[in-house]
Amino acid sequence: MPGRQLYQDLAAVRALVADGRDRLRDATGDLDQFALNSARHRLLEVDDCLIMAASGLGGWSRVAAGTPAMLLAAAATALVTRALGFPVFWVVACSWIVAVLVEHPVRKWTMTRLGPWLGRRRLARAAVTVEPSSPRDLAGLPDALADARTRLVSAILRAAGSRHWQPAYLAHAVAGSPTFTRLAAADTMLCQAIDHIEQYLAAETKEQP
Amino acid sequence: MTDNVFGGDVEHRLRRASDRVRAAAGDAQARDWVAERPDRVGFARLAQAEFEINQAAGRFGAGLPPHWLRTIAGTFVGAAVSLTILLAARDAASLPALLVAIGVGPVVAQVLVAMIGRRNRRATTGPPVIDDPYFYGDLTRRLEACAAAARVDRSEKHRAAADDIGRALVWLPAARRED
Repeated sequence: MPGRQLYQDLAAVRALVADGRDRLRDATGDLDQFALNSARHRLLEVDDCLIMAASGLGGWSRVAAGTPAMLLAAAATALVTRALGFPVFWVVACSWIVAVLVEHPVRKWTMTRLGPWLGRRRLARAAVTVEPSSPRDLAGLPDALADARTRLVSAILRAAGSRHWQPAYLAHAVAGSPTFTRLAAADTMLCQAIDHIEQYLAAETKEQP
Repeated sequence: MTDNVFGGDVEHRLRRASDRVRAAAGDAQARDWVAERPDRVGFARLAQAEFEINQAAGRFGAGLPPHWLRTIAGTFVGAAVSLTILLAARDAASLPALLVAIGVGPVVAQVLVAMIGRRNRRATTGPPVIDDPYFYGDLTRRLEACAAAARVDRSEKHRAAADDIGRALVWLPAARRED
């Protein structure tokens, strides 16, 4: 996967989405309305999905983080139990059990702490300045977010490579690869946010003839 | 898939429905990406329906984590590899043998998991499920049966699932409508 290009694209999408969030806040304030609340929530989730997608952590990184921790724990336990004079079976069993017990939190920490940190850092490094389109009213917001979405989809397609532009392959990649799963989730959230804002606007125009 | 909409317990019926909706939404999303069937609204609404169905299913039980079969198989394979190396080693309690056995297990398991993930790739695609009227008909029938069962449940938590299913039943036909 061409890393740098993907991070730049995602950073641009993130900036556009953040701008859309600001616009939504400027236009509606804290107006408590179902569609608007949903849209706000979705736009926040898009951000999280993009950060985790940029972290690129998957099964291999989990193994890479978990295995050294496991080995350290096993070595320490083996040394201690042997010094205490345990029989061979118990040395092996204790090392194994301690290794597994240590590995699990390390794995979890990798995904919940290291992942967001890494993603944020990468996106911040690749940050580009995007000029949001001019009209800053609510009516123009769906189009602005749709621009961000177009950018996201081209980033996804570029990451997949032009050889793989078939629906079957892409659907499979979304189901299998962690990065694509998160990118697809971000895309879905963004589309839902656009849909909610459009529904809100449609309801507004209906109320004010 | 059985024809009996009342077969099985509600949670598993809901999870099966959720899987079908997710598959349809993912398919529609991929088709939208390659502009084979451009529609950014339909799959988003299907995903809303899937979310509500998952909420409803979550009220009945936590369910299995995603890729549970892969996780269990990976753990089992890793443990088996470690055990084999330990049994093959001359002195199992020696530090190198122990570390190799414990370190190689997860790596082999991950290689296997990655290979399995790469292998089952369906190359064929039929017409998009999101346009199939029978998909909506069948799913609505099944979800309504689930809602009916949830509504008369003794547990208050389970009865709340009926509301979630109701919302899913609002999103589902909305996905089909062409604006």
